[in-house]
Amino acid sequence: MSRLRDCTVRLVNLFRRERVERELDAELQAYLELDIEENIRRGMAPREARRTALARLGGVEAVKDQCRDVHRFRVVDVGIAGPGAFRALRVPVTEGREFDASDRSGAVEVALVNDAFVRRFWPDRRQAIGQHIGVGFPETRTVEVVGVVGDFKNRTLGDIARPMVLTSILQDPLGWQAAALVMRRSPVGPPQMEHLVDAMRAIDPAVPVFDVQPLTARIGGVLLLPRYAATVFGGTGILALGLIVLGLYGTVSLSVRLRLRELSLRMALGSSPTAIVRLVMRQALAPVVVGVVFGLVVALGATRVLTALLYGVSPHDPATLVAAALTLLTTTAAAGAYPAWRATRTNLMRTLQAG
Amino acid sequence: MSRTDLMRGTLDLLILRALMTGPNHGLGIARRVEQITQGAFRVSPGSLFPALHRLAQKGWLTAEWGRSETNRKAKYYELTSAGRRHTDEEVRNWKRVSVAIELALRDVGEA
Repeated sequence: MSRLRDCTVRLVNLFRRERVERELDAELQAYLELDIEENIRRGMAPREARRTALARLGGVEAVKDQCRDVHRFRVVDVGIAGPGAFRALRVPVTEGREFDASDRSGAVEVALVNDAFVRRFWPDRRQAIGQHIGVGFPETRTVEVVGVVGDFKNRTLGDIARPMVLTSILQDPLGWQAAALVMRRSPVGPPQMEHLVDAMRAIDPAVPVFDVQPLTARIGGVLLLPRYAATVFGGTGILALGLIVLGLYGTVSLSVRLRLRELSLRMALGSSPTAIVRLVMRQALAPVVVGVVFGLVVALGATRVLTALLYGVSPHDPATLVAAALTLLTTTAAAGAYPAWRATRTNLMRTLQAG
Repeated sequence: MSRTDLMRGTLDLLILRALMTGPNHGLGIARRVEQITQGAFRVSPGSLFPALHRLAQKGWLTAEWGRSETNRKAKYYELTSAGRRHTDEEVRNWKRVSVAIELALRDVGEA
C-alpha cells in the first residue's frame, strides 16, 4: 500500500516537473520572439534581429538551470547500481570508491556521479567527494557523494556523456524487484551459463533468473543497428566506387582508342613510345585529379554529419579518404596505360590505312 | 549580506517597482526597469527569469499567459496583494537605508 502511494507521489512529482519544464520552454521562446519582433521594429533585418536576440539571451540552458535552481531541481539522469558493478563492467572509478556491500539501508545514504556531472557542477573536481545532494523531486533524499566514475554509454554507441547520479541499489526506497546482474568470470574463460544459473538457484531458488547471456551477445545487440547502418553505407560506397571504376576505365580507354590514328601518326613522325604513353596519361589523369580534389573537399564537409554514427574512426579518417582517392587515380592510370601501351605496339601502316 | 544578495535584493525591488504600474511580460519588465533607472540597470534574461520565478514562488507575483500588444503569446506577471504590501515595505526600507548611506557618505569624495 505504501509502495502504491509512493509511486503515485513520484508520478505527480514527475508531472509537476514536466509542467515547470514545459512552461519554462514556452516562456523563454515567447521572450525570444518578442525580442526579435522589437529588434525588427527598430529596423534590423530579420536574420540579424534573431541573432542579436539569441546573443542577448545567452545560453538558454544556463538560464533554464538558474530557474530550475529556484524550483530546486536540476535535470540529470539518475540510475541505480549495486556493489562492484563498475569493476565488473570495467568502468573506471576516477575519484573515491564505488558501492560496496556496506552501502545498505540504515547506513549513510550514498551516491556516485559520473565525470560529466563533475564537469558541469563542480569544475574543481576535488570538491566532489563528500558533497551532499538531494535526489528526487520535490521530496528529495539527501545522499553523500562517495565516488566519481568515468562516463559510460548507457543506451547506444552514439550516447553523448550526460551528467548522471547513481544511487545504491541496497538503499533504494522502492526496494529492488528486478535487476540486471553483471558477472565477470575469473580466471577468464568461455562463459558457462548453466553453471551460473545453477549457482544462483542454489543461493535462492525463489528468485527467477532469466535472459542470461554473455556480455559479447549483449554488446552485439547494441551494435546491431550501427552494424547494419555501416554495412548499408559501406555497401553503397563500394558499389559507387565500382561503378566509378568501370565508367572511368571505359571512358579513358575509348578516348585512347578514338585517338589511335593521331597517336600512330605521332609515332610515325618520331615520337618515342614513352612520350606517347606520357601524353595519354597526362590527358586522362588531369580531369580525374580535379575530380578527386573536389570530391575530398565535399567529403570533408559532408562527413561532419556522420560523427554520431562513427566509433573508433574519425569522420575524416585519412586512411579511408586516401584509399578512395588512390583507387580512382590507379584505375584511371590503368585504364589509360593499357590502350596507350597497345597504341605504341600497333602496326603503324595498317592503322593509318584503316583511317 | 554578500554582494550577490545585495544585487539580488536590488533586482527584486526594481522588478516589483516595474510591476506597480500594471502587469507585464518578461521583456516588458526588463525594458521598464531600464527605462525607470534611465538605462543604469540592464536586466539580462539570465537574472530576470530566475528572479521572476523566485518572486512568484514567494507569492508576490502571479503569472498568467496572455497576448502582447502585437498579439503574441507571452507570460504576464502581476503583483499580488501580498506582493504590493511587500513592495511598499521594501521601498520604505530602501529609502531609510539610502538616506542613512547618503548621510554617511556626505563628506566623502567631494573635495
